[in-house]
Amino acid sequence: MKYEVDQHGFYGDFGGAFIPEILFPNIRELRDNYLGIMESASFQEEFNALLKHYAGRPSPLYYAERLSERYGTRIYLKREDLNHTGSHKLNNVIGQILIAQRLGKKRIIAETGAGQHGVATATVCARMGLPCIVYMGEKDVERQAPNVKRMHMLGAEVRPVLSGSRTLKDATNEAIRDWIQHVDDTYYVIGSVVGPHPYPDMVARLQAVISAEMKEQLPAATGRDYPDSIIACVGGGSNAAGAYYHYLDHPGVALIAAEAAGYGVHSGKTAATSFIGSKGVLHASMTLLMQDADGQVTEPHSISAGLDYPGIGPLHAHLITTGRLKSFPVTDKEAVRAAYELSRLEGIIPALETAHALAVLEKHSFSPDEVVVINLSGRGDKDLETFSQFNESNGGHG
Amino acid sequence: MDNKKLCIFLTAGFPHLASMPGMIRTLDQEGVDYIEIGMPYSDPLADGLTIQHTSKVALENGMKMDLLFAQLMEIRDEVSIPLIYMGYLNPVLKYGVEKFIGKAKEAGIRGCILPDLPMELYLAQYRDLFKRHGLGMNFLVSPGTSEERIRLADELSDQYLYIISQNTITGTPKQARQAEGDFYDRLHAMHLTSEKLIGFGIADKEGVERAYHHADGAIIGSAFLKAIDGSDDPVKAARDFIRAVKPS
Ligand SMILES: Cc1ncc(COP(=O)(O)O)c(C=O)c1O
Repeated sequence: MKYEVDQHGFYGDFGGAFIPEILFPNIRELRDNYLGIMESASFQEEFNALLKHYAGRPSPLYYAERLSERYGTRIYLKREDLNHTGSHKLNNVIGQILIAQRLGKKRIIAETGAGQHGVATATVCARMGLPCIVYMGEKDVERQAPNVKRMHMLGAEVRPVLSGSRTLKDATNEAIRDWIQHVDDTYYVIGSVVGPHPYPDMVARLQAVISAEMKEQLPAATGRDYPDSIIACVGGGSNAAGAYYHYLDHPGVALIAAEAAGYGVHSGKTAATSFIGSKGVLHASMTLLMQDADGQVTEPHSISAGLDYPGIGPLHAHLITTGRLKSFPVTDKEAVRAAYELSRLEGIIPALETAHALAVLEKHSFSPDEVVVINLSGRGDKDLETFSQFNESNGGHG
Repeated sequence: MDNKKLCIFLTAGFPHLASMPGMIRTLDQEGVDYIEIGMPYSDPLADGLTIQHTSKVALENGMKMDLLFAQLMEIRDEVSIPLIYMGYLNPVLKYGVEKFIGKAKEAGIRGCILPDLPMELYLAQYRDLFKRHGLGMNFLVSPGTSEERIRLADELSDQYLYIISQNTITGTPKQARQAEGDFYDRLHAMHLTSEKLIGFGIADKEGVERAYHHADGAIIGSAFLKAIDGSDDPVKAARDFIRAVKPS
């Protein structure tokens, strides 16, 4: 595979493990064992059974007839919103918790932005009887309040993070600090294809079930096992990585990303990393990140907590810089508009993150016979408050 | 305790933008043996609340890499105390590693500590460059570090081996004395060649004496920064602090 991680954990110029020495034993343990565990029969059996009976997979590949009509092309939605807990995040968490158990870890920590990864982690920890601590920026605790309540109900401890921009980046810093202080018993479940090697590769492989299912589902609908284009939103990039995974080396499939542009790419209030970012180290990975001239990480903005992050995963940095992946910036406003459109046309309320992927339909035209798969990464229940507030202050969409 | 070393970590630009030169002079006069010059970073993920706070204040004050070097140039001919640059990797990468090395040398810095630069990457990509320009590098080891890696860190460190006495972030008070003692015994038995300084969580004279007993010296960061934080006269607060912690 051309886009596979190399033996040092790099995708081209991006990746690696820029970790403090204290974390080295844990990272080495994971690096030396993740592939063996994931390929073992016991893992495969348990993982697949949980995906099927607990998560409810495979998720449907749904032909969105009215949306297709509106945009004059053939649009299929990969319904990760119907996955248990309401997003793709659960796929990764089930896998990582099974790995953590096989490594003998007794305490689970996670970071979360939108709260979907936190809810997924709290869910699997409840199912497995493991203690769970979730770090969440204080700003996100407020704007994703329903997910905080869910985590509490599931028995997890949510620790609000007060540093920096009080969002996903800072929650990740705090989770890493926790990990440094509990290296012996703690497993850190990272929620996206970010962080030190082997996390980006491990999370991509666990999310690859999304494109594996697409390959199974597409022939019945379209007569062939690949689409012309796949569109996904990119925060860290896990739902996108999963949706692209089995097509990375397939030149007939155009890969398209949506990044959160906030108020606009050059507004100073944005999270469109690949447009204004540059190469550097963020969360122990060499990647593209938003930084100032002095190498200080700059604070991102997005209406969507899950995309409000000043970096992208190293795989995506590699895909974008090599031209394999085309990215579009989508503003807060465009995303909210797209969310209302999907709700009114298809009766599906998408997550704010996912709405960014839907907004690409306005920015790029597809021909009538093209097959376009949009990865519908999550459902929008958590965002109702934000949608209605934004809608009121912007004159309405309905 | 003449042969033992006291090392103080400070954050450049804290508490005031121009504090560092005066602080270095004072620490030199008080007989401190090494100063770690901390370049503030927006995302100090191996640091506790104190250094998160000092870093934030220093960045808000306007500390930048060029200014850090300029401030060191001011006093370069006056002070002889060895200066060690300590900071996260990203600002160094952004500045340009080669340019960084040149400026650091010019400003009188002897060596560096970049906690998120792994030893393998240093060896593969940067060691020759640092050696060629005569700028040192130093690495941290902790109780979880394998013997093989401790030996590598010993070999690669030019000024001292930074011993973290427990698995923690900076500024956390010490807990398990026994496990700590075992770690020092293990290090002792390895007959390492580098000077060994113990850091993270040392806050008072007792802690310094214990480090002197087990190793070649002590590093104090958070406790020192706390002592000067909020003081009307940070230089005096620094002097008082050193006099209180330094064994006679
Ligand atoms: C529904 C949904 N989609 C997308 C994302 C963005 O993450 P990633 O880029 O890793 O898929 C999130 C993150 O919270 C999310 O909750």
